Amino acid sequence: MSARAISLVRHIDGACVVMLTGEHDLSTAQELTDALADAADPATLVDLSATSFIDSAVLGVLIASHRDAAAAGRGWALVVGPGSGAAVRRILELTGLDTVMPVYATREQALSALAASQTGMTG
Amino acid sequence: MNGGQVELELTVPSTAENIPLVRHAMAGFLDGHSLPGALTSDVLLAVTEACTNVVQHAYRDRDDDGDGEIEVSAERADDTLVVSVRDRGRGFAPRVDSPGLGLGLPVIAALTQNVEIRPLPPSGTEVVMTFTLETG
Repeated sequence: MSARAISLVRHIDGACVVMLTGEHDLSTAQELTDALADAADPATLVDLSATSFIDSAVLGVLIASHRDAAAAGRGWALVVGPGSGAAVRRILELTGLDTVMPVYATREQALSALAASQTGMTG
Repeated sequence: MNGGQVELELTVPSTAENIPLVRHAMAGFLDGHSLPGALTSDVLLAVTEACTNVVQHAYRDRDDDGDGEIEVSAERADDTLVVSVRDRGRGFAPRVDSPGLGLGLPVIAALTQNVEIRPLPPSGTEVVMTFTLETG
């Protein structure tokens, strides 16, 4: 089965990027929670473009992170790309959360949106 | 054979670390049935949600979570696939301190043709998920 990992890349164009590789569920939810806490400032980008599987336990972590960022006025974005697994798209569609959270097709688009929002906040 | 014989039986300790193990075992079982990729994905998501419910809720009143188990079975009969996830825990009950979003069962309901939640005497819960196999 596919290897899975959560990697944190700091400060790409003013955002912390958390990349999920492979399958993620309740067994990695706490690790993801910790990674997102470390990635809160100045803005968070969660990249699911190499994620083959997530479930509602992972969605719960993403929703909490998005909610906390919104409450603190920090940027937050999600990338669901061509490499994202069918289960990733399916659960986002089923729950309607792809319409609640800011979702982009590429990391570049998400970084541009975060940069624009930060410029908007400061300017 | 298409008489609904059990084709997969799996029992594992009820821990989060075993959820991917169950999913991978189910994926191996489904591989042998030449199902459409979208259906396979739905089954794996539904099984994961059902197992997560067991880990988060079924045995939470026990001192040692390791006492509990997740039992999974699957059978294919003609145009249906029936997957059952069972526990021998405290039974199905509302929980005000639920650690999750409460999305598990709604997601399962959306992914399946039918879902039944049954008590298992003397204690426990069985979630029976039925998937319709597309033909033609």
